[in-house]
Amino acid sequence: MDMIERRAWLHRWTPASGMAHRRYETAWLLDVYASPGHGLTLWLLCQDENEGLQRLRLHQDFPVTFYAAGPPARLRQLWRFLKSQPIPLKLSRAERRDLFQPHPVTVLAIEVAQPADQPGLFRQVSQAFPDLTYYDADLPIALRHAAVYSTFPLARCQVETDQQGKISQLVTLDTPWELDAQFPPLQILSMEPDIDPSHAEPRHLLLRQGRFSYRLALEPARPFLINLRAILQRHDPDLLLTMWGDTWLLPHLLALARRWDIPLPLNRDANRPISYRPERTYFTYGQVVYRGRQVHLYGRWHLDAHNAMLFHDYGLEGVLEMARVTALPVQMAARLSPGTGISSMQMQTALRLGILVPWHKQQAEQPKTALDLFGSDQGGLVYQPIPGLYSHVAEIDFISMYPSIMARFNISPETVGTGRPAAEPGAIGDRQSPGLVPQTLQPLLDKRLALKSRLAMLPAWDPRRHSYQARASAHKWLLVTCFGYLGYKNARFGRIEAHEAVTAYGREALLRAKEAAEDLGFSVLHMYVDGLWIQKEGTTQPGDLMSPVRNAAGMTPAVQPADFQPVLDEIARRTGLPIALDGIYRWVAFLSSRQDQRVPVANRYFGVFQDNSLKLRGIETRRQDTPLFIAETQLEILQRMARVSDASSLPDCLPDILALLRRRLADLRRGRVSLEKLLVSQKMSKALDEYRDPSPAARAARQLAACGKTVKQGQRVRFVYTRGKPGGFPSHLLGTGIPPERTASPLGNAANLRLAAQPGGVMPPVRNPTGTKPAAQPGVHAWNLPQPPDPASVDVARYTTLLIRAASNVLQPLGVDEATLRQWLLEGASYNTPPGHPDALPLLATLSSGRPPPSDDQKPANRAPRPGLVATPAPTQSQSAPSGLSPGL
Amino acid sequence: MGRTLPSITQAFLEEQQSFARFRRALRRSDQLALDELFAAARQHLAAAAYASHALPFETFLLAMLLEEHKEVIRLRQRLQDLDGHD
Amino acid sequence: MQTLPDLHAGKLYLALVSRPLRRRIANAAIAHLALRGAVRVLDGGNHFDAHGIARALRLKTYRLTATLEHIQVSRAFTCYQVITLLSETPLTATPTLALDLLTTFYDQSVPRPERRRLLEICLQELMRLCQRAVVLVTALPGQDDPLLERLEVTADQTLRFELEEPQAPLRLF
Repeated sequence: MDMIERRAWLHRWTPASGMAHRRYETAWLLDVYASPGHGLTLWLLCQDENEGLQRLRLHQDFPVTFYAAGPPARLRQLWRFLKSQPIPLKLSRAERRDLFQPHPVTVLAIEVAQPADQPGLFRQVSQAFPDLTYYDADLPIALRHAAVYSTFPLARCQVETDQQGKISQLVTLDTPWELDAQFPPLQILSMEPDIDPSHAEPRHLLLRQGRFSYRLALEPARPFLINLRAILQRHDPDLLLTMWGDTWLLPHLLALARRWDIPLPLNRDANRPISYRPERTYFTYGQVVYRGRQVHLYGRWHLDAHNAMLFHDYGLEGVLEMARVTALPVQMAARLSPGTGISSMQMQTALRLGILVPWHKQQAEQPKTALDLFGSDQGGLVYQPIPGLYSHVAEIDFISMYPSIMARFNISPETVGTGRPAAEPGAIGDRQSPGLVPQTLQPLLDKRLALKSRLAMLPAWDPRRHSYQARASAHKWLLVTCFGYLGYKNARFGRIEAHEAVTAYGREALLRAKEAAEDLGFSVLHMYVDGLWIQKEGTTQPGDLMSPVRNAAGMTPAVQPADFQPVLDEIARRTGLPIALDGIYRWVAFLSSRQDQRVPVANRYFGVFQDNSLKLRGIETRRQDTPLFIAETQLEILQRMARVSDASSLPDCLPDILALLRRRLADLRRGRVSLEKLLVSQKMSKALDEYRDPSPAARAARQLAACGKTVKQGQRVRFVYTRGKPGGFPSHLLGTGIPPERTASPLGNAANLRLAAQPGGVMPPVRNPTGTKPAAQPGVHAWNLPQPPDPASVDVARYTTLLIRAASNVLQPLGVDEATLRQWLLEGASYNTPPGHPDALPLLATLSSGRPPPSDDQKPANRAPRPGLVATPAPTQSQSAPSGLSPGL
Repeated sequence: MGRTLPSITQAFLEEQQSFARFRRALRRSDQLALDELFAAARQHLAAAAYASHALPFETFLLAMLLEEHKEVIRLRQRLQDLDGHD
Repeated sequence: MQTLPDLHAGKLYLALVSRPLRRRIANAAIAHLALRGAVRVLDGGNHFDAHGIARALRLKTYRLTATLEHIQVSRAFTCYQVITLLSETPLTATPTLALDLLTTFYDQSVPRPERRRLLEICLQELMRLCQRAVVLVTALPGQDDPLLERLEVTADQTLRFELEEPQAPLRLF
């Protein structure tokens, strides 16, 4: 480093001591934490007229208070206990408000001069006096600071320091609710290994900051560590952005640094050790979630793009917005578990209003009669659509329904009555003063709405769109979790009666919306908690579909957004809640149950909006465990269907779709599909040793465990399905109708014999006790094993079945079921029933008449042939090919 | 998250299951007709949930009856149409 | 099929019910008491089978709605809530059922000494209530369970409900 650089680096951050009284007009808050003996340490990015932008570490006095309540005799004993402690503190008696008590409670206020002393003191106190009730006892220091100074990460402040360099005044100049906040330029260093550490041992580390990039070999270690240290010192990043930093990279670097005794300045604050959070598994919304171990730094932020769910989905802007709105430190905000964000916002509101924050949730449900339980213990209304294909359907959704209900009807733990829930919403909740929960939610709802309307007005090319969308996503995530949190058993300000009141209002609102739609001449096809699918009665006459009026721009749709404005207005009037048009489907298909075609399914559908975008729910493309090969093919089929302008022409796509499927299946058989695209990704729902009958994921995890790679409950295992039957006829060709001499695999039998000899490759077939045919247990080969799966061992039959199933799911509205599709694709024979023939497509009949599918005795011959439907088999390649695979396909 | 009562679908399946013995002893063709009755009731699970009856089977029976009556209305209409043609 | 003996105030009853019988016993006890008047239920395991109770009542009375209103139920989802519910229960003659009392006490996130302390308070509250009312606690039978042992020691009378026949499946051949 030359002299100029060295001086610049020295000036970049200045130690707290030796400074005179200074005033900084513009300073952005980077980090705040307790420092033993020094109150709080604050890291700020200060704008200085002489020095430019500098990173400053300052101290601030900040005593913190917690409270104890209980029998007076016990409180006196506690007083004496505390007086005997060496820690500087102030004791006093106070009256403060507990949200769950009608009157203020008498508490012993314990003010600790040094914030770093409080957690330890509280631990001692709670162990010595476990019977007392504690408040404000375990709050993150950043939240306490936020409650007093209205600060949050990257808040713009005005700071004054005294002779000793301690902060004497701090004024926050902006609020979390600003739409266009100014950000300072952050120095961001990204670090990633050259390969996924769970797959293989990385050899290089790639670093990048601004226009500088480096590629360091990890071995030999000494020069690597020295180079890395120099880079960190030179660039002094505000944010260290890594891949696998929490789970592999940083622990690896720190272990290396220890072994070679070359300390790495990962923390900016050299006085602090690295902070670790352990890995954990928790249950939420019926799912198991695994969170890896975390590495937090002091004075700068470490974000692991892999372990920070929020970062992964919404980028840095989303994370910063989450931190801004919750006041949580950026490193915490990026790695939030559901509920923590909302909980922090509630705690901050409580602190500001002088409401005590309980340590343990004590409050329990008020008794209700068994009769009341039937009415109150319900969720949202979930309807059963009539399966079929529908045209010109509008989807209208309440905007943030549950949070809007909480805010609008003042539903909060302290406002919900204890009597029997009223049949009419409006009787519930105290209208007088807004409760804690509505006060917390209202600014968030307002900001969300403001951002959404801004977004609606921005043109598609506007660069601000991305930023607005990322921030809107953070808000949406918070709002989505706030309802669940209201009913969570450990939520400090949760209350099950409030949770139930919200769902009661939700059901009432949905029913009123249905009534409004029906009163205005719409039929309601489907409803789901906060959304409705409606169709104007009379828009599905044959005339509307068969001869659309074309204008200069193209087709004029039979329905326009403006047609729905009256019903939206009426619903908003009757419910008091905001509702919006999500879009108008050109056509939408509601799918029935796979097991029984008569049984509707609430959340499986797909459709094309008037703007040509697709919406799908509940099918393979949307599911995380689906291999890419299948998800991509299903999406291609949907995209082909989306090009069709009206639903009656959908059968015309069938030849193209079948050709596509034939191509994909040929690719699969010929080994032209890469293994990555065949990966199945399943979560471990239990710990490995808890499986009595191992799922495929568990068996793959076992293979990994045998190689020393443990998979924890809640983590995902990736694997390929492989043939489980060694030896004999290539079983992957069974059932495909292809005679052995036309086998596609050039390896033939030899491949099977080789497989049988591979250790840890293929699982032996399971035989059931009566000695009959082996059970159809799929063989698996885990990804990330030292030995990659042999492409020739891929279980082509299984992937074929999965692909056909996925295709038949989306072809179901056209009347094509899995068995038929299998015949068409694999039998190599001509169509049994050609596409477009009325007999084969009963569901299509719903389009023209709006009535349910015709019963069996309604003869197709009585209906006039409809243009757009093919009455004769379309000439296809398969009809001209000999039995077996045609070489061209 | 604090839910105690089974979902309406769960309650429905339990009720259906409670008639398994009755179903088993029926002729096969009668079994199919019974299955159709139950499938018909599934169209109205949301309303059954909202009704919050202590004995949900009564609501399911009403739903079956509702679907039967809709079929009667359809058939009546078709008869009228056919009579009109002649 | 075992039946419940006559229960009296002044004694704390504990019913150890094996898992397959849990629902049946709980529903029978609640229905039996509801037909005779008010009953309080503390549900510690989130297994309150409202539909099953309704079906059982319907066999005995045509006044189903009124009888269901005899039953006051509160649910505890944490061991802290169990304490709160018990301590908030007024001292009256209304029979009280504490179902699956120990379920929330097996939560590993609460330190063991704390769970033991809370159980002691719980037992004190139960002793308080049984002075005026019939109090029946249910729990799963178990081995090497210090919490269960404490409960068994405190109870004045322990009833056991286990399946009489072994679980071997029947075979036709």
